[in-house]
Amino acid sequence: MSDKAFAVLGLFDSPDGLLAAIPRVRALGLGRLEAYTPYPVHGVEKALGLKKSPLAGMVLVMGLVGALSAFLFQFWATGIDYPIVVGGKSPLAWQAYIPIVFEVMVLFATFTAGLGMLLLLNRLPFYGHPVLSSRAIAAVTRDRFALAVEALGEELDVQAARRALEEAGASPVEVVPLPAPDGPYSPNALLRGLLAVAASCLAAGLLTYWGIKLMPVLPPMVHMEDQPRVNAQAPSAFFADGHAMRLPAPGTVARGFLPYGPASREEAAALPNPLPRNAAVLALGKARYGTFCAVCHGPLGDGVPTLTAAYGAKPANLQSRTVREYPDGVIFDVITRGKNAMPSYAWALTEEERWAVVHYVRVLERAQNARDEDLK
Amino acid sequence: MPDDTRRQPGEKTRYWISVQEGTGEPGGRPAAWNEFPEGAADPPELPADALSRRRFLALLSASAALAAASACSRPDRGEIVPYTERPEEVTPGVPNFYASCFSEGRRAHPVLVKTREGRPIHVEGNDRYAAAPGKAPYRAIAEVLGLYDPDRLREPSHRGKAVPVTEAERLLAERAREARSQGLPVLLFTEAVLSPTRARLLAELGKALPRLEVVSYEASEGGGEDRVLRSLFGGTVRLEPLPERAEVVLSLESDFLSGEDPGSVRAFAAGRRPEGPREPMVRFYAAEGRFTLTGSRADARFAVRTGDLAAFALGILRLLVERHGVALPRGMADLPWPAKPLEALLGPGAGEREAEALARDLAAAARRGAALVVAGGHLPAPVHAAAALLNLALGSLGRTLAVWPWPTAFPPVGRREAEGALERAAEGRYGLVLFWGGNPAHAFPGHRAFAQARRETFVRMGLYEDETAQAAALVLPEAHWLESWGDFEPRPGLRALRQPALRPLYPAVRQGEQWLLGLLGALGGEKAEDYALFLKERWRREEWPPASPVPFERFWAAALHEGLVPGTPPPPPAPSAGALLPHLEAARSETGLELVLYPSPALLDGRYGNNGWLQEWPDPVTKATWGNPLWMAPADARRLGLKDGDRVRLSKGERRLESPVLVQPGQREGVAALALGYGREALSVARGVGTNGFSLLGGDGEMVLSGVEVEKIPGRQPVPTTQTHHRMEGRDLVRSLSLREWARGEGEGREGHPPVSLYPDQEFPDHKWGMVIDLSACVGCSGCLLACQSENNVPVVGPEQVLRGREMHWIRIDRYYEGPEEAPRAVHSPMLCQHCDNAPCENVCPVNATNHSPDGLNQMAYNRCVGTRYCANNCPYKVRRFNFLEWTAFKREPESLVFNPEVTVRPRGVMEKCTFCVQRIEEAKVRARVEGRKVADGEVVPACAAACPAEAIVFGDLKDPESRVSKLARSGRAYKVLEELGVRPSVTYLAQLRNVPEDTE
Amino acid sequence: MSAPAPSPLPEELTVPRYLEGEVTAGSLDDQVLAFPERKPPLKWFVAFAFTAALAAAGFGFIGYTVATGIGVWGNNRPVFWAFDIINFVFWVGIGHAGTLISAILFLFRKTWRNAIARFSEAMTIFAVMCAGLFPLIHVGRPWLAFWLFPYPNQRALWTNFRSPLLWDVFAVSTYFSVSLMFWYLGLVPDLASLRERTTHPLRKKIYTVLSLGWRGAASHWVHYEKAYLLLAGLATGLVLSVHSVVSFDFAVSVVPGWHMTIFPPYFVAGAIFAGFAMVVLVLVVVRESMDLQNLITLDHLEVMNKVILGVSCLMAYSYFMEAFTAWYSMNPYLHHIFRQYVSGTYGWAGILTLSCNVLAPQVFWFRRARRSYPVMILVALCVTVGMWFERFVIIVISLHQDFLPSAWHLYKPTPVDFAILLGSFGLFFTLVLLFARILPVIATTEVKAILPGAQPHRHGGGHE
Repeated sequence: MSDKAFAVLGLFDSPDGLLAAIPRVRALGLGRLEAYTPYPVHGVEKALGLKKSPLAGMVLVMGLVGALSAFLFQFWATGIDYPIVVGGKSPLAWQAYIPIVFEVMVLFATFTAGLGMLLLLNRLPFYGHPVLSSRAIAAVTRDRFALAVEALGEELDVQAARRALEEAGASPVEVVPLPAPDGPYSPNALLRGLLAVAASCLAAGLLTYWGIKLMPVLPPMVHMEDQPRVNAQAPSAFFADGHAMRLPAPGTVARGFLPYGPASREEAAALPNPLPRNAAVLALGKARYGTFCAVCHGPLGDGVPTLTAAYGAKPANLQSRTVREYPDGVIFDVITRGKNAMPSYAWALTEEERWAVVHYVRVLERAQNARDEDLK
Repeated sequence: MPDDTRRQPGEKTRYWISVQEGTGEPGGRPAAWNEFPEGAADPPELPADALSRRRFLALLSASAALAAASACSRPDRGEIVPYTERPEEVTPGVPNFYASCFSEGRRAHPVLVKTREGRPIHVEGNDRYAAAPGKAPYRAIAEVLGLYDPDRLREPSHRGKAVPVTEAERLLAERAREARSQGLPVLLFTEAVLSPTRARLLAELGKALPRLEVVSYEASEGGGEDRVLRSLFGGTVRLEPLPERAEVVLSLESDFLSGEDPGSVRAFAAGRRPEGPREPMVRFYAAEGRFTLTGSRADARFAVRTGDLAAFALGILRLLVERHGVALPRGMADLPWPAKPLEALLGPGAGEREAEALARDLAAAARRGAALVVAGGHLPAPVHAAAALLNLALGSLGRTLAVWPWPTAFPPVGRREAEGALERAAEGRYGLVLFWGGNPAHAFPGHRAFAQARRETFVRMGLYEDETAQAAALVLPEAHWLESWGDFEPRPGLRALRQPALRPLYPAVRQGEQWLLGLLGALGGEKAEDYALFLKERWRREEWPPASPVPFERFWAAALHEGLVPGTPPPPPAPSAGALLPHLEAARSETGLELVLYPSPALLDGRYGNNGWLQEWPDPVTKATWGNPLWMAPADARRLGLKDGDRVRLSKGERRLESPVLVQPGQREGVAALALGYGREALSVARGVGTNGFSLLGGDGEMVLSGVEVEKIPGRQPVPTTQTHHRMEGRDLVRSLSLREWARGEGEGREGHPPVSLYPDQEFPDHKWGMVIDLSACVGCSGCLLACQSENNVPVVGPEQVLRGREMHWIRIDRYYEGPEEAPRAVHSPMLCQHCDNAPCENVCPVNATNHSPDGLNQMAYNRCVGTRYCANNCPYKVRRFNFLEWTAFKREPESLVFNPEVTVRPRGVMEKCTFCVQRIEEAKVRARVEGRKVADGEVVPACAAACPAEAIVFGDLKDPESRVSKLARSGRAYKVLEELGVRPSVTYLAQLRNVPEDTE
Repeated sequence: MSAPAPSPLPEELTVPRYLEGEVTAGSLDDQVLAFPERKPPLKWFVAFAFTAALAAAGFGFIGYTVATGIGVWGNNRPVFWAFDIINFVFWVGIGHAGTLISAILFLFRKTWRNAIARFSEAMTIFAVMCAGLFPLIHVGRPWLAFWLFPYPNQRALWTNFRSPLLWDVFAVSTYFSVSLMFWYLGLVPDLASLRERTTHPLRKKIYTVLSLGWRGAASHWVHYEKAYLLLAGLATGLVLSVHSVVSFDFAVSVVPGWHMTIFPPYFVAGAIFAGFAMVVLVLVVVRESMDLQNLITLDHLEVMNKVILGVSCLMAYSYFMEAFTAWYSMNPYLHHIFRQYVSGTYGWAGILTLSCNVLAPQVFWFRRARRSYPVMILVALCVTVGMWFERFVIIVISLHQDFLPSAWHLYKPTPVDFAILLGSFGLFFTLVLLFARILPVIATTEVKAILPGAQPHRHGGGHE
């Protein structure tokens, strides 16, 4: 037994004995008095002069906090952050929030009550308390009642305390040493325990994360990002050429795609330009020309490419007399079927658009070769 | 039509050629102008004022990066296989439409095939077809599934071993040459030959094979009609009712409203939706033993034993002659009136007063040439003779009844002739027997011609390794009609072209004519390497108007583009009434149980047996799927102690058949009915579904059998039906009014106070989509159901799941019976998601997976759905469908090619329902936005509305008070189902109208 | 009220002491806390093996369901909910007795609760665990069930706080955590006693950690008692709210037969009813198999049976009121459904419900019945079955014939449905057995506090 004692502790057989002893020992003012009982013994707290528990207030406050936060969260989530019309209700319809508000309130309140009591008020868990290593503790958690005179900061008068307790009828009386020797619950044992818990939490967290990330794409948990339907430009395991996109049967005519009529350029030359020469048409023609023609024939149609033609072919100069004298139909035909190195642009320009481009080419030519009366 | 504007450029290109094609209004946009559907970036074109190419690319890459980022760790099939050289007409992500033609039995119907990237995904009617613009027969709609049927033959086989095409052709030619050299006849056993060019080819073949015998047989026909008409007109003719011109129609157990011919449904419905109670309305009488869909729509329905129908018709004729001074046709003075008096024939339901009303109405209508009598194709000759006589007396021919000669030299033959040919084939009299189309082994069950497998002289040309194919040594894979060329005559003088909507799925597959061309060439006949050319050449020679200013190429292209070429109708053949007498004398009326065998509305003669959509398509009357239960009258069922699903044995002489029973209200006592086309023995889907009614058919092909024995046998076989309760329980669900009730103002609005709400009304900024369904027009044909299934990737679940009540159809046709079960009145009411403003389903979804769109759609976010099914519980209309099991994810090509790429394919565990075809709505909105205008009224057409032959479904914007749907929703007949719940549905129904004859109500 | 002076009155008239024979704090510990130290008898192992096997099978079928889709169940259109939700409501109901006994009776100062509180609380927790299982597995895509929790996510999407199902999520999870807390608080002092008793090193470590170093200091007891009181108050409110919220799943919908204002109180009553029946069942077994006759007395069981009788009358009233409301509503759909409850295809279920829940408990008007094992076991079984079928009636019958006759369809469960139901029972009893094996089945601390002479004479003793 070390001379430095944490407390002197005496056991009583009955609550009455304990209760009778408290005032007598207390009068001596030897130190802080504390009783240890297997179950709450009524009157002890008064005799020891303990204050009432502040728990109720805490619970009330936290309950209200819970209710308010629940309400505000729902209001924000459904009304402000991501409003969705559901069942014809306005996103801010609050009536339906009430049940959840109540539940969250209770949740906050109960956890305040439980954990607040354990952690805040009773400072538990605390495995290192000297009394836990006393001999008396076994009896105290069974059916005996202990009164302890504990050191109040300064030195505890062990002898006086022992005497006082014995006179009060306690037996046996035990001196609880300080500091408590390491029990099975030494601080580093605890630390190790906590570390283990933290580690397992981390592991669990990671597992859940990967689970959530992977699960939905593992069969049978089909998701919809990979549907059996065949989208545009999809590959195919079925068709020999690996294309899911098929070519139309030769000789067929799809709605809106009557094949190009004229058999020869001469026949085409006879075609009149069906489109009126107005702003809308010219705008369309300009846009198409800029997209498809200007690259080679140049923005002015003078055959100076915007991309310096790295290849041999020399784009035609649309300003040249020959082209200027082409009938519209011929230009249309060239766009449609291509000429020399120029491929067909039928895939890119609908007939309407080709005619619009023809108009625009005419405009370019006119602009470059303005006549005098144009200046007026 | 949602695709109108697509067609515009096609029409624009017509300015410079001919008057013949008519003029198209200018100003439309080309197909490539849809910006937002997938692959939209492909035509590298933007409005002049839009992004520069560089910025566009920048945005593109940015969005790609975003996509990559948001795809987190999910494996993403990023593989892209673009066109190496893109054909002019195909823009990835933008559908194309091909005019083509569907044909079946004696009918041909012009259709429009919707393709994506050169693959058909949907079939609609041809909008240029005046008789039924944009309407397709429901089986044509389902055919797109048949195209991708994995059971289809992929290559020729000989004795079960696959052989290359050349080898197959060699074998075929060899057989033919042998036959020719040995001077043996050659049998070509095929279906009705409707196509002039096919007929021409057969004629050519006939030249090469002098002893060629062509037997064209339609197993689904009774033959009675044909016999009568042949003797009446002195040659095979086609008969088409034209109800649009009729005021009074009498149907003798005819199912002309089944939707197989959208034209007649449309015409009939047009006369059934008067603006007001005083407006004229077609009055429709039906007399029948079986309870047909058509009969269920009758204003007065006479329950007459099918065998007595001839007597009934004559009885009516007698009334007409004796009371209403209708003159009999010449040479009929000594017409033998039936022994049985009219009243003795009538069962429960419409009685003598109705019969008199019928005579009166017919007589009155006849004065305006507006009376029409139609008889079911399966009925015996006497009924058709009587019907023809009635029509002659009423002067319907040429007015309400179109008659024109059979378009080819190969008219269909009766069952007796067909069986004769098979007999000879069985005896080996033919050097070569070529079975092309049809399925004789199924139509003649147990016939000895098919007893021996892989018979060396037998050649099968068809889509499947079916019952008939198993009897043939050489099997030639035929191309599907969607992969084929052809031409038809859908209406007198009107020519329709069939063009392939895709290249054959399998390289070794060719259309039947192609195989025959090969044979023809090998036999030293006319050489044409390609049937398309053969067809084109015939058209150049015979169809191209000689004096036309249009070059043939252009004419041909335009014809393919339109799919139709109008022509001059052939002169109708003249009838000789006297020829009817012998048929009339055959009129008999027998006692005992009658069995009516009729072509299945789903599978016809069984040719669609492998089509899951049609197998699961609820019969419009019984709502039965996956099978052909025996329909029995309630009285008979009681007498024999039969309930739904009990098994019975039918026997006629030594012919026997076992089948489950279905008690059919309204069926005349003593009449049982069984659909043909079931009980197939081949193919993965068709095998073992239902029983084969052909096995009861006698040699004469008579489809109405009398004196049939029915005995109950142990065991039960529950019938998978999609509706298990048939009464309305006095609830105000489907309203039907007689004109007089309507005039009295009944059935308008709703009783009780208007539903109130805690919350302010929802506001819809731009649109508020809504639908009106006119129950007076709807005939309940259930075509909409198939169109929806095809458009929205609705899965097939199979009989077991249907029995559990888990079918997935997004739209169902509720059918209720009112009145006594002997003579009930049936009402049909399409039921689909009502898109309620205050949708109860939305409130209860915990994850917001179903919620409301700003334009009034109740939308499902499939991806968000976890499948609590609470929404479905809370849906008062029970229109939500849940994927209880995985029905789609395992689908692979070719099956998966049928899916509409615009619509999500839902996996298991996800709730789904009608979306009002949101993909079509969005498409229209995008188009409108690109063109800087508002969505035009009628521009958005959901699949169901597009397919409805009666045009009973109208869709549009309720926010626009002038839209057609708004106007209809204000009609006096308008009501909403379960309005009292206050859920505010967006679907309005117009009460069904009945034009009940005066003084019979 | 504890330990009144002995009186000359005949025994049945005295206030039962809910104790038999001489019980001291010490003997109590030796009797109760000894179980965890002893090796359990063979019968325990047999029972455990059986229930565990049942549970394992159940989980096997759950796996099968998850892998194949809930199409393996009988659910269909229109009966989209069936066994899954029935079992959920059933187990949540069972879970209500515990909190009721430990909380409400505590507030009413019914000291007889102390001996059975611990056990019923444990049962609450296990029942709620079973209940929680079903909402999880009944969804079409269980691997996404976590979407029901409002957590911030990539889709920036929140849950629908207007859906009763979401209210369920909150209510049930709150209820579970609160019950757990309540139970654990009660356990701490007992765990401290165990810590001091056991010699087995590992057990000692475990009990040490779990008992948080409780040392029974007077300054702790002050807060402890206050906390317990507050928890009891809160739990009372909660227990009432939870089953009300569960009933909202139905009451808030439009389905005829579900859309009833009487549901919340009616469901709470039903829950207590079923819960008490289950407690009685288990108590009888525990009392006999663990020789606790002196602590869990016949008086306890009799009081429980009185409660069952009372609540049964309450149920009868609820049934009547519900039917009356339906009749008075003049709503044809409702009329139809209520006819289906007692006639029609599933009418037998309604009849069964009424006879089990209303008629059977009436025998408890007789004292001998209340105190007879066979009778109380029989009645408890009846009530358990009856309450399960009550939910069957409410859910399946109401759904199978709602507004549009065209959509009506019969419901037929599959073997998988039954397997999973049995599995949930297996899970429940497995947990119960484990609990009885490793933790004190009786709240020794609370019982000590009411033993004769437990409190100083100047004070009345008991909890004041």
